[in-house]
Amino acid sequence: MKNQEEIERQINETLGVLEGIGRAEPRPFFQTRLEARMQQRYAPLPKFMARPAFVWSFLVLVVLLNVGVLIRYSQKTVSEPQNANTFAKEYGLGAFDTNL
Amino acid sequence: MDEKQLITDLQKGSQSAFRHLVDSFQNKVFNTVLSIVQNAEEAEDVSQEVFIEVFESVVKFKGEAKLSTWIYRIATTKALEQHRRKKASKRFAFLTSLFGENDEIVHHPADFEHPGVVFENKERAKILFKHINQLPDNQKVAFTLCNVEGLSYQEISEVMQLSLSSVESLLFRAKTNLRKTLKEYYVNQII
Repeated sequence: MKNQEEIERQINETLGVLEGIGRAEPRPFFQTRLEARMQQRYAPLPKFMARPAFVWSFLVLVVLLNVGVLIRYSQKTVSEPQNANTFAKEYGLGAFDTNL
Repeated sequence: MDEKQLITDLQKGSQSAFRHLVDSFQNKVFNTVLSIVQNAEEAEDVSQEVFIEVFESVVKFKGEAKLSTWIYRIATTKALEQHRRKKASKRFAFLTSLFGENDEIVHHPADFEHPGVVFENKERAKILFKHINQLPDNQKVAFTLCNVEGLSYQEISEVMQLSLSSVESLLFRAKTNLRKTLKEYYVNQII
């Protein structure tokens, strides 16, 4: 019984701590930090990046890289018996049947 | 500055109007966000995002609600998003800890201390905020706006876009849940 009363008292006191709570404030110079973040966010691209010559060169480079990768990987075969044999040798798998 | 004029200036992209807005609302936004995310650094970050959102979407603001209501709405939405992200990352941290080297949980968040609480109530406030953090999102927002930010039921209903009776019901359920979880906590402490 006494414990119940004590628990009720504790609950009421804990719920009461928010009465008269002050407002939390951000660290000083919040406005300055916000402005710096916004400047960074809305900063225009460097001038040279906006030039058509740069944009086109960049696009051509991306296309060339893609074509290069495509050509390189389309020439590779999926599996070769020699590779399987080399693998078997390396790991000491004497009876490795490559026809499986 | 008159609110209508302030909105018009903001919509025209006036920097001084934006500075005035930040100056007027930074404490309200920070206090609300902090009470929801319960971490000062995250609260600063989210508060900045709130003002960026205000700056970017003020052109679409038609004045159907008060400016403060609209800003509180953005603040609570962004704070809840952060709160959910944190909860999800905690769950992930728990999972990774299961497979970690030392079987230790890596993330140990310190108990949150609201700077507006008077010194002698700090310990109790830590316990209370821990339990507030366990409330369902909408109860947490309603309880925070009412008891930490001091908004009226009417203002909360406008911010949360709910009827007055729904807000009353949310607050009643929040208090009931807090009483229940606090009881469990104190039963273990006292007995």
